[in-house]
Parts: sequence; C-alpha cells; structure tokens
Amino acid sequence: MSRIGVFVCHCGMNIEETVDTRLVAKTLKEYPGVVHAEDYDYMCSEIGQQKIREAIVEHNLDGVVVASCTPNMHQETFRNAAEEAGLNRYRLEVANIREQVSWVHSDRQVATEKAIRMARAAVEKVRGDDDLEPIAVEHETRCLVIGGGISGIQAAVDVANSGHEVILVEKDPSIGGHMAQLSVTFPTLDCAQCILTPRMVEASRHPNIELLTYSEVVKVAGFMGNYEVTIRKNPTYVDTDKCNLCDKCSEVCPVSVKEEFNEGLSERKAIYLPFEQAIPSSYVLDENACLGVKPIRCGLCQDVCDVGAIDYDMAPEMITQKVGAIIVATGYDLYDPSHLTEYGGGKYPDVVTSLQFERMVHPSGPMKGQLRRPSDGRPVKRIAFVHCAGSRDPGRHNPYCSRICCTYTAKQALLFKKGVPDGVGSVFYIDIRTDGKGYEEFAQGIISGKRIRYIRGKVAKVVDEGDHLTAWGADTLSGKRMEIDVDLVVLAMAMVPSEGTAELAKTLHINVDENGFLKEAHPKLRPVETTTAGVFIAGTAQGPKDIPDSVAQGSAAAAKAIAILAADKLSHSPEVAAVNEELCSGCGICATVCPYDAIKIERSGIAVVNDILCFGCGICAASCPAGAIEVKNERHMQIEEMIGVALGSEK
Amino acid sequence: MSNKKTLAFYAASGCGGCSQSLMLSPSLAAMLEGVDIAFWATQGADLTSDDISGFDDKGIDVLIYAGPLHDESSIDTAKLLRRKAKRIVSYGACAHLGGLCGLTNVYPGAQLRALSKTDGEGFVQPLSAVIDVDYILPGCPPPEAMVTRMVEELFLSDDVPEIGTVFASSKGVCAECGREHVRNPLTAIRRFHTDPPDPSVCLIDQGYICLGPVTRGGCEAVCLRSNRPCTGCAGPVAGVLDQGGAILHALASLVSFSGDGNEEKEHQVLDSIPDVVGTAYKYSAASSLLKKRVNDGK
Repeated sequence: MSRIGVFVCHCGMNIEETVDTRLVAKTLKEYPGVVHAEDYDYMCSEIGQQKIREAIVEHNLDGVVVASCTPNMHQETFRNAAEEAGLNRYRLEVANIREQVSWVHSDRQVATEKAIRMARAAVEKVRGDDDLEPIAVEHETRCLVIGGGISGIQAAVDVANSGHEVILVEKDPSIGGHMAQLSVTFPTLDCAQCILTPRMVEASRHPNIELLTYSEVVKVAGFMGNYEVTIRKNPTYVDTDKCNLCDKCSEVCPVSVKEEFNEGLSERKAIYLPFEQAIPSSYVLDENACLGVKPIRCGLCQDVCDVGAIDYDMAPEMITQKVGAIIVATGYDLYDPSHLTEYGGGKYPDVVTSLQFERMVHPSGPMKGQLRRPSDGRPVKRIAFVHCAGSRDPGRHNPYCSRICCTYTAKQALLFKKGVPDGVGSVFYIDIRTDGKGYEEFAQGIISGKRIRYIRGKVAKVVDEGDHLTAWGADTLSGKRMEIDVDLVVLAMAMVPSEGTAELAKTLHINVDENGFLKEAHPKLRPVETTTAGVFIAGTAQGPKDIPDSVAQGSAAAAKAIAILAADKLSHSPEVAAVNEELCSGCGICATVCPYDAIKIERSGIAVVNDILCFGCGICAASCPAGAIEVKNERHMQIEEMIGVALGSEK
Repeated sequence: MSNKKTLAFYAASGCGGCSQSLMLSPSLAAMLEGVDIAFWATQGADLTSDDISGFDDKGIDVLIYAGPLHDESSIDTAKLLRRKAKRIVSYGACAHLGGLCGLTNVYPGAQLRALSKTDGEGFVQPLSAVIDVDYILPGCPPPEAMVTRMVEELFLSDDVPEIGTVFASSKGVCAECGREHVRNPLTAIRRFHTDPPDPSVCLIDQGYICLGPVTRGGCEAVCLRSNRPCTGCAGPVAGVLDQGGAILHALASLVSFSGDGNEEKEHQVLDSIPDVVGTAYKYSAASSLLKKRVNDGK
C-alpha cells in the first residue's frame, strides 16, 4: 500500500479564490493510499517546502502530490525539496490546479470538484511511479552558430570570449547580414557599417572562431551536448588567402548580373567582391552566373589573376564537426514586393523596397547617396513612403507587425529631407508604432517637425504615369481621398523568415510558428530556447525585431549555450521511453514518428531507445499499435488510472 | 475403445477454408495417428443437436471449432458442444474474432435483411463471447506454421498446453516480415491495384495500409512475402484490445508526423483510407469495440 502525501497550494488568492483548497485537502486525505494531506498559502515558499520535507520524514511518504501552479513553474522546486528529505525526486508530481482550474473557471463548486479529481489523478500517477535516476551525459565544448548577421556575430563573439570554440556558418560569401546594407541606424543616426564592421573583424580574427562562409548546414544528428553537424562549404573558386583584391578579374569578366548587396539596383560581375568591407575579404566566383566553370571555361579571370588565386577545380567540401550547442540566427528576408501588385511592387522600377532605399541613400551605395529614380535616373523630389507593405494584412499578406518599419521610415524620410531639402515626403501610415528606447522621441521629432507629411491611411493603388507615379489613397483623419504625384514610392516591406528557414528547422528538429519564424520554447520565459534542448534561436529568425533586440538575443542565446558548453556533465531526465521486448515486433512506427530520432529498429528486430536523445514526449507510446513502448513513470496503466479518476470513477 | 484422444471437428458455418487448412496440413497425418475421431462436421448441417447430445459430457477430448456464431441456433450448438468437450480450440478467424462475417455487424438489421434477403438479425459474435474457449488458433485460414504448432503442442507433446494458449506469436507480423524500414511520413494512401509496392521495403513506410504491426505473427509473414499486405486475419497482438483502432491510431500518428502542421491535409490523407472498417477491422469487427451498428446513421 502506498503512502502518499498531498499538499494543496492556495497561491495567495490565485487558487483559493476559485477553489476550496481546504476541501480539496480534506477530501484527498480520505483517498486510498493518501496518508497525509494539507493546504497552505504558498507551497513554493520556504515554509511550504519545509512542510513537504517534514511530512516525508514524519509519515515515511513514498510519493508526494503538490496541487499548485503548472509543473513548468515549481516542479523542480518541489522535487528538490523532496529529494532533500530522502524521497526519489521522480516520485513527486504536480497537479496543475491554477492554470488548468482556478484561472479558467469561475464556479467555485465545479472548480473545487475538478481540482479534487486532478489531485486524485496525480495520486494515481504517483502510485505507479518508480524510483528513477537522472542520466549523466558527457558533452562537446564547441558551439555552432548558424547565420553571420549581427545577431549571429554577437552570439559567436560572446561564446568565443567565454573560452569555447565556435564555428560560425554563413550562407552568403561574407558575414554582416542585412545590417551591412543599412545607411544609418535609428534613432542615433550613426553609420551602420561603422558599428558593425568592428564586430565583423572581431569575429573573423577571434582565435576561438572558425568562420565558414558560403556554407550551409545540411545535416544535424545527435542531441544536446553531442551534436554532429555536416556543413557544405560551397566553392568560391577563389583562394581567400591568395586574393589581393586587385579587381582585375572583375574588370575582364564579361558577365553582369544584378548585385545582391545593392538589392538589384546595380550590377556586378560573375566574379566579384560582395562589398568593400566583406569578410572574408576576397573575391568570389558565382558559378551560376559564370559562363562556365566547367565544361567550357571562358577563363579570362584566371588569365589576369597575378597571384593564381582562381581555381576552377575547387569542389564543394563536406565538413563534419561535433558541437555541444547550436545557435540559429538565420535572419530575415523582405517579403517579395511582387505580391503587392496594387503598388506595382517588383514591376515599376520606381517602386522600391525599404532596403533598396537604404542602398539608394547610402553614401557608398549605387547612387553615391544622390537620390535618383532607378527607371530614368532623374533626381527624386517627391516620395511616398508606404507603411505596412505586406504587414498587418491578414488574409492577403502577413498578419503580424514587422515592428521596425515605422521607425526606419521616419529615419528614411529624414534622410530624404536632408539630402533633398526642397523635396516633398509623404508617409502613409495606419498608426505609428515606435516601441524601442528613444524611438518614440525620434519619430515624433520628425513627425512634429512637419517637414514630412504624415497621412493616416493606406495607399490603395500606385499608377505608373510614365514620368511620375501617382499614389491613390485616403486620409482617414480628414476623410478626404488623396491622389499625389511622386517620383518614387518606398514600400516599408514586411520582414519574413529568410529563405530556407523551414528546411533548416526540419534539419534541426525545431518548430516554426504560423508565420514561418523559428518558434521559441516559451514566448515569455524561454524566448531564445527551442523545444530541442541545446538548440537556441536569436535575432529576426525568431520574429521581426530591431538591431538592439537582435544583439540582445544573440547574447542571450550565447549565455544559454555557454551553460551547456561549460557544464562538467549534462544531466538528462530519466523519464524516457522504454520498449517492452516481449511485445515489440519492430514495425518501426515509433522510429518514424519520433521527433528526436531517438528510436532505431535494431537488427534484433526490436525498437531500441537512445535514452539521451529521448525527451519523453510520448508520441511513440501513443502511436505504438502494440502498446509495446511506454514512457517511464507515464505508463499506459498509470494514464488509464488517471483518466479513470479524472472522469470520476471511484477507487 | 482405445486410449487414444478423441478428436472432433465442427465448422458452424463459413467458407470451408478452415477445414481445408487442416486437411492440407502436412502435420495432419501425425495428428490423426494419435486420435480417434468422434465426428468431422465440415458444415454445421452435417450434425444435428441430437447427434451431439448422443455423446457423453466431456466425452470428447479435443474439439476444433471453426466458424462464427450468427444466430440462436449456432449459440445453442456451441453451448452444447462446450458440455461435450474437455478442450475447445477456437479455430480460424471466424471463431476467434467473428471473421469476415463480422462485418455484417456494421449494417443495421433492416439494411442487412434487405441486402441478404434473409430475416436474420445478423449479429455475429466470436465463439469466446458465448462459451469459454481453451485454445485459439488464429488465421483466415490458419496458416500452416500455426497449424503445425497446434498439432505439436496439443497432440504430439506429452505436456498439455496452458489454457489460453494462442498458437501464434504474441508479437506482430512485422517481427517475421524482414522488409527494410525507411523513415517516412504518411503523405498519401497508396493502393496495390494502381501502384505496385517495392517488395523489399516496409509497406507502411511506402504508404500502403498493412495490419502487420497490430496482427499476431506466427504465419511467417506469408502475405508480405507475396508482396501483399497483412490484412489482420490473426487478430490483435497480445495486449491490444481493438485491432482496427490500434492500426488507425498508428496511421493517424504517421500522418501527423509529416510535420507541416497542415491539419486539413492530414484529414484528407486519413479520409482517403478506402473502406475504413472493412480495412482496419476486416476480421475483427465482431470482437472489436465497435460492437454493432444500431441505426442507419441518419
């Protein structure tokens, strides 16, 4: 016969207001197998924990149920207390009577009955619990950072500074990300590159950082502390160490294509330098644009290369590395403007994206900072800035707010007025959301300066009138229809997850949210963690955000990773799946559905669980058609008993 | 009278496959050598209640009973036979599970009567629903390997098999199948007549419905070796109550494994399973949690 203690928490009034906790404790005391039951104000307090410890000793308890808040909050607190009193920590269970009872019900009588049943169900679970011991795991001390934008760079540098080696993988030929394209940053208006490039240099020179640009993570196996990652390093056909940046290759190259760094506003050659401050500082041969690395080679670039840096036979390289933690900071792309047909996005050359505008006003951009119409090169005197282009438009485009557009549009309008003092800038907005430190003051300064016209309303349509564009819209404050002629339309494009985010998420066994951004483990309390232990997320890959937030997340993810890398040994929960060899026929369904790749069908024809990979999610147990696999301390029998009493069956 | 065991065979109704499976078994000769045959009724009609009543109670050592229970008279006969036999082997899928005939339970009575042009209620039950059964030999018809095992354990061995013995594996057919696993989500249901499967790879991994995981082995996976799916004739594996439910929830798990979270698509895949009851409960409808359809669902 079991000897179970039950503790019912009031959580101040959080639970007590809706649940008669005294009645819950009193009723549970009569329940078979329960030898002690009491209620208390705050079970998580030191006094509350002491009550658990004392009862375990006094009543020689072999199991404890705490009916309180969600186990996510205090299960560890209570389990530690139980362990201190000599009870195996896995014999303590939490019945969640706050989030699942008091906070979601108002009828005290019904809520109390539900709390009683949930506490009884937890007693049934405890009754079937076995003593378990945590599993100790050795681990790697190196970290993989995927994505070399500002967030990834920050994470890499922070981890490297803690004395751990970092592999920084970037799919483009240079690190730097979108920040390298920006003109100035709001609200301080300091040059983006001036603050970014020192970080880029630091990352590239850091003795603990191995930089792998033009590379992609293609495979990830393993588990927290022990990942094996396969990285494909794509050939740049130029030896980074030999290239002396003389530009001769680019001069002779006969192929011109749109230049990514300038968002297609200029052209580059097939062999090119990504941008002046690129790191690694080397030319790159774009094999898709090149007339033919093989089989027919034009060979002009190799002929003029004095230092023999060009090697047409360079092959993709597969690199396998073992790492203990992974930080994903793969950033964002702009929503494809061609979705915005009403604005002529992607069709009218003078309807540009916000990033194109950044390049246009950049002093070393394709227009050397002199604003000209991409179509005919005429100076730009009139601009319509359109907020929420593809954002906050559920059903048609993206439902979410891209967060930074209001503030950068204010900045862009300001830069326009600075460059073209007699220019006319009109900003169409839904409402102004400037949520960062100093952003509101910055934007309001620009708005109240009245040198820019802010119009509350959406642009309905942009018409190309040949020598100018006409933006049709409405001013919802005056109720007037607007029709304004402009030289340029700047779309504050929505941020979307960067290309390949979904595939990478699959490779890493992490989730994406309904908009395709990487999903955090908890929106409030675990913002840079994922549901896969040892994999962290940072920056705009997780959702639209500004530079300081991206940097902060980079540092946060680094801190989380360091905690793993610096640990002596990792501890893994023993609440993992176990196979009943008598029943398992090796059908492989569990191995297929396991989200952690923790189950293999061994040669013996039986499923075998790798305990360290298993997170006890129970998908295998639920899908096994033969009932041959169960999670320890979550066995079918326990679950059936729990369901039984939850539904009101009497013991 | 010799001191040989008395053996009787009784097939209540059904297709005759059970009788054939015994007749064609290479172990038949060995079995017959050690027994006196009381009767061998390949059709229930071969034997009247009076005939059966003529035997002493417990006068038959081993009775092999095949076929489903489908009406009052078959139930009465089964009860009578229980009195006369010391040990009863529930032989074949119909006696074991209700068998194919059990699918009639899916039809409400009126509809069934119209279909079958009879006036029966059409409630099929397995033998064990009405009388205690000592041994079970599953299969439709029982595969040779299992028949041999029964003969060896029941007739050729000095030890008496434990009551409740199932002359089959407690594990699923997969244990005997030997096909290769490729980890694959279920994104579409494939069918044999339009799209022949790879004979070396697990059928479920290829998108075909196969009841191997939920069905008792012991058959040496004969169907799979002929590149056909297991249709579940040996009934649920040990520890599973509802064979059809078990395979359906496994398929549902495999569909959601595709991972893109598109529930509508997942439903489409599951909705495309042809004849769900006839596929998942082909032999076990009468012994499943489904019981009987009581109205026409309108």
